[in-house]
Amino acid sequence: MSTLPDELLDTMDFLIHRYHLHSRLPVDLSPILEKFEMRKYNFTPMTLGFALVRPKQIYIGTNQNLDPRGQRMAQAHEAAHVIANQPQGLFVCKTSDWSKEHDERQAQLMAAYLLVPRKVVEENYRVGIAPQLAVALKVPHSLVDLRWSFARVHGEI
Amino acid sequence: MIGPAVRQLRLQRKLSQETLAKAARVSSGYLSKLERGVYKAPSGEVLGRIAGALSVTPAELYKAAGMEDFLVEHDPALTPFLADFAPKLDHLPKRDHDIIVGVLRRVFQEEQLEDGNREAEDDLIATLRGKR
Repeated sequence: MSTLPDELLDTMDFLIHRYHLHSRLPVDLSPILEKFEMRKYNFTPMTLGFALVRPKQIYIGTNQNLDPRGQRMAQAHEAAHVIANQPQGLFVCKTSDWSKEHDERQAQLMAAYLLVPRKVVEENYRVGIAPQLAVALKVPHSLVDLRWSFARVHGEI
Repeated sequence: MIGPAVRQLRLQRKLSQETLAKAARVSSGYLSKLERGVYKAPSGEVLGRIAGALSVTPAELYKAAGMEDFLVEHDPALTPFLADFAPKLDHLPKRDHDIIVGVLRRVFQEEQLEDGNREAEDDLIATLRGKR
């Protein structure tokens, strides 16, 4: 099911509003990401990135070998683990198979919610346009599809 | 041996054995024997305190002693820290595993240094208050 708990949606709506994340396109997540130690690493193609939550600092690492759109998605995905306040101290995320685990699925959906604004989906989505939207939003095509799926399930469109 | 490196760093910082011992919360006798090589392998906890009092990480201390590889395999304080995260690292490609373990070690050492510095500061403040 492509949906999220109400409290998480409230949290993300608050962040989007607080930092004006959706006021410009493509979405710039730096107001959130700058609160973490962000680095890129020479991971194999299997690994998307990781998030390490420690009492005084949060460390996010992403795969430097992803294309720029993939890197934006990876950063949003790892930040989503932190925003969701999931209980583990370390999240290590694969580039594929994210849909099989609850926390990974949730983080990917949150990444889509952050990087693909509701208004864009409401006003522009139609069959065959996802690749163009993905280019404009600088995200992978799959993330636009996921956001659209969420919008339908959640009654946004 | 770690002792001569401790002595060298202590002298570089113009600290007496007594001052360093107090800051690291060990006895002067222990520190003296460590520096002379009578004691060869301090525990990870003691090493962290001594390193913190010298304002270096344990890894830097081992590096100064020419023993930088030793920490990775033998620091007893590091092992449970890594063990907490071990299940998350299963089934990763070796390169990715090694990168993330490297990050965990760095974070652990930074946290140890910060804790060591805080304890050393607390001890110094307590010492100064005691002299009043």
